Amino acid sequence: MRLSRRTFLVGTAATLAAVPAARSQSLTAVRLTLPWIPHGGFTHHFVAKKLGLWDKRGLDVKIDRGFGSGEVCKTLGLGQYEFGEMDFGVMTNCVGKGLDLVGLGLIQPKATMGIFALARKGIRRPADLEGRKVGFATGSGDFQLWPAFVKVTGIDDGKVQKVLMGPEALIKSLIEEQIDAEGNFYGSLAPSVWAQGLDLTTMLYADHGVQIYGLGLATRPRVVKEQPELCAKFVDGVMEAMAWTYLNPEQAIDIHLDMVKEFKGSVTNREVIKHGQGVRTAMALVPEFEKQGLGAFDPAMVQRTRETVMTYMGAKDVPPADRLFTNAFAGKTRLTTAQWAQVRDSVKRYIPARA
Amino acid sequence: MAPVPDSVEIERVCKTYASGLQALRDVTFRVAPGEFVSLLGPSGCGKSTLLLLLAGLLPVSSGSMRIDTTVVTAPRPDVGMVFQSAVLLPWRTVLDNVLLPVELLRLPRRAHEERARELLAMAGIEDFAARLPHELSGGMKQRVAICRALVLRPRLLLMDEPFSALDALTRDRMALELLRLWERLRPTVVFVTHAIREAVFVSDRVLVMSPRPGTIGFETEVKLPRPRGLSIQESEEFNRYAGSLRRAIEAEEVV
Amino acid sequence: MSLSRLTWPLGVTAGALVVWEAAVAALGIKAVVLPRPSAIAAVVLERWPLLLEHLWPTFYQILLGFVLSVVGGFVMAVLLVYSERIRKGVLPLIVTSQIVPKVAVAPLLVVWFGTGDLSRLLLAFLIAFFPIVINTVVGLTSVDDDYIKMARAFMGTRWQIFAKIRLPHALPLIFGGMKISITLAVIGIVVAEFVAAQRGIGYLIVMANGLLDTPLMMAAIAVLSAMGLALYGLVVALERIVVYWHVPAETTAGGTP
Repeated sequence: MRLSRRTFLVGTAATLAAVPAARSQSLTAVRLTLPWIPHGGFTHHFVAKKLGLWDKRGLDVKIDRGFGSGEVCKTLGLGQYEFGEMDFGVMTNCVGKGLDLVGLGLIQPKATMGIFALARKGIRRPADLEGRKVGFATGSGDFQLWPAFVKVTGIDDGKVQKVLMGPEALIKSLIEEQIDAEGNFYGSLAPSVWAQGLDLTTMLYADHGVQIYGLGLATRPRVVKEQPELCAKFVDGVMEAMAWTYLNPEQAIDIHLDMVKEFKGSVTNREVIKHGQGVRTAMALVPEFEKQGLGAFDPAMVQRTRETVMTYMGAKDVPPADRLFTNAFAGKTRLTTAQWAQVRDSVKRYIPARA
Repeated sequence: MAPVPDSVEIERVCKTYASGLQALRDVTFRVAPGEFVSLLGPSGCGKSTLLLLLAGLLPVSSGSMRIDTTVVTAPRPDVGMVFQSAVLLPWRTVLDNVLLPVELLRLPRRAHEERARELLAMAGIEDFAARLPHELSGGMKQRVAICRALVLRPRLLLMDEPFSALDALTRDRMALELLRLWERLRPTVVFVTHAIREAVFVSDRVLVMSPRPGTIGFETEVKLPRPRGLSIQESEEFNRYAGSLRRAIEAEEVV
Repeated sequence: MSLSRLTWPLGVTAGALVVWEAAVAALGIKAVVLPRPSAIAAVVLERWPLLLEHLWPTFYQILLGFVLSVVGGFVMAVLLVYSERIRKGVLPLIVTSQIVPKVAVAPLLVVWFGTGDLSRLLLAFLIAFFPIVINTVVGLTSVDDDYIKMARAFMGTRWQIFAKIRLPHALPLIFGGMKISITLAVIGIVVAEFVAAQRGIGYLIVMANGLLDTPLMMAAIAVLSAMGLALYGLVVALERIVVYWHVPAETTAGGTP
């Protein structure tokens, strides 16, 4: 389905009119969990809900916040949710530890794990981390992959002082300069910091040779097997919404703030949501999305992800790569070349510069 | 005239605690109905233990103990007891404290409430019926305890050094009050004390207990006329009784 | 509570707020680090529907968790006092449950029971029941022997001694435990909301923190504190009604008002 902006807007208006009608029929209740609090990186879900992109397909989706990709894997794996968005590397690791999960489609294929520092610290290259204090959240994916980053970049791990803390303390510790740099997820950290008028230097693991996929949608293999239509409808709704947010970023922010009232308050909050959305979009500028459609996996990259996870994250019994994902549901929504160019231009400031 | 059975019959009662300590040895005495008898002796002579046995709170090791001809095995409703401290329940009013024995026996409250108030009036504290114990002085609390012990019209009243925690002036007044109550209600009384003059003042008969192990060593009848006022304590006869009791106690201690 | 008793604490609080306001202004502290009290008050006034919306689930969960702790703790205490078997078997488990840090247990509860109300109630119960158990046990067993002797002399049965003497005697101590317990229930529910909730004041605090919206975060904390004080005050008021008699100082564990 190739979208022109005009067609889409017209379609949206029609859909909004149809939403009340759809709601009067009985909808299938579906539970979705995010990996963290509902910040700007997850706008697509709120757009999907608000524009009725799930409703029109017969789904009533409840969106819950999550407590880290690891927890999402557990709760999703236990059947407390039908669908979840989480880090694909963490998911692979959890599958290796016995949880039954499969990826349905990518959201931020470029992994957002990395090392970040306030610009004024002058930490532009990996080697600059030697002799500095770097904070990590205990148990986070970025902490688990730190050895991969070290290996690929060749820095001296012994010269880097590592400090562990709870995930909630990360952002403040960086801003208050209790640490020089930290491991975090680009989309969770940067928007908040930028909205405070501060600048960051960004070293994404993916930009420094660590081969791993980022955030994506997942479910249990059983759901794929027994309810393929449900999966199709859910993923279609998300991808359609994602495309809409690429092309209508300002309205997407409005919708997000409308649906997550806790964030409505200030101008600063709006900035944070805006940046979060921008980062998410910037991480989607990958060849597989452009050529195969939104959400599509590149099997070779899945394979490389699997290897990285098995080497660095401790899982020994990860099933073969083709069991970790399916392209049956992704790839149906596409943008034109012109649209991609427009999108790339709109988020160029969010693409991290390589030193 | 048919002989009236004794109120209390104690025959060769011995009491040895689990620890091996023998508290009482061969205690034998009787109390006639309506008689006021004191057990007098220094601390540790077992007089309190004897009272606990009479109250049915401890079992005898050997010997027999009867109240109104029935053997003592457990506490009974026709025996009232007053302790060294008033032991009033702080969350109950004075009236409710007096009515505790009624409640514990599940008897109807209303039937006994009038009696309780009567007793409080006899003791001179009817105005305090609705007060809580902490609002009362030590002497007043003990008066409440005495009323409580009398609320079920017991035939036998056991009193374990009831005035020893009070100051000397209050003690005298309380002894007087007690006699006044006793004259009107006439229960049998077994009164434990270590104060010689107090024993003489209240009793018809005083039994001196010698310690370790406790046993009755000496006995004297107190033939002073009743009713007795506090001034009787200055009389020659009173002092002779007090003197002979003191000598008896000292003799026991030397032995 | 008379007005004069309030003036001193109110005065101290007001003074602290003034110092806070002045210090932030003078030292140029950024709002993201420490907002001024006036800014926080503004947020409370502006966004009170949102604050109330999240306060309510927290409030009723705290109340529910507290009631469960009191009832459950009391029952457990009675069983511990009257059954030696239970005391020997269960007491070590109870003590162990207190040593395990609850923040570590919280994610496990979520995995087992989901992020619904149940996990949070369990967590609050785990934290808040212990003072009730301990204080109730002490209260029931610390009755002076004289009272027991007196009650037995007047024909009291074991059950009557429990209901008419041990229980009332234990009430001041139980309320001491309740005062501790209500504050623990507040902490328990809010901490549980940090790691296992989709709404509530703790949830709001984390959301605000995630966006570095410190004024909203502190407004939520302020509202939470006010609620906590109110709940504590409720227990104190209840205590004044139930424990209407004079209790000697040694009997009141758990601190004065």
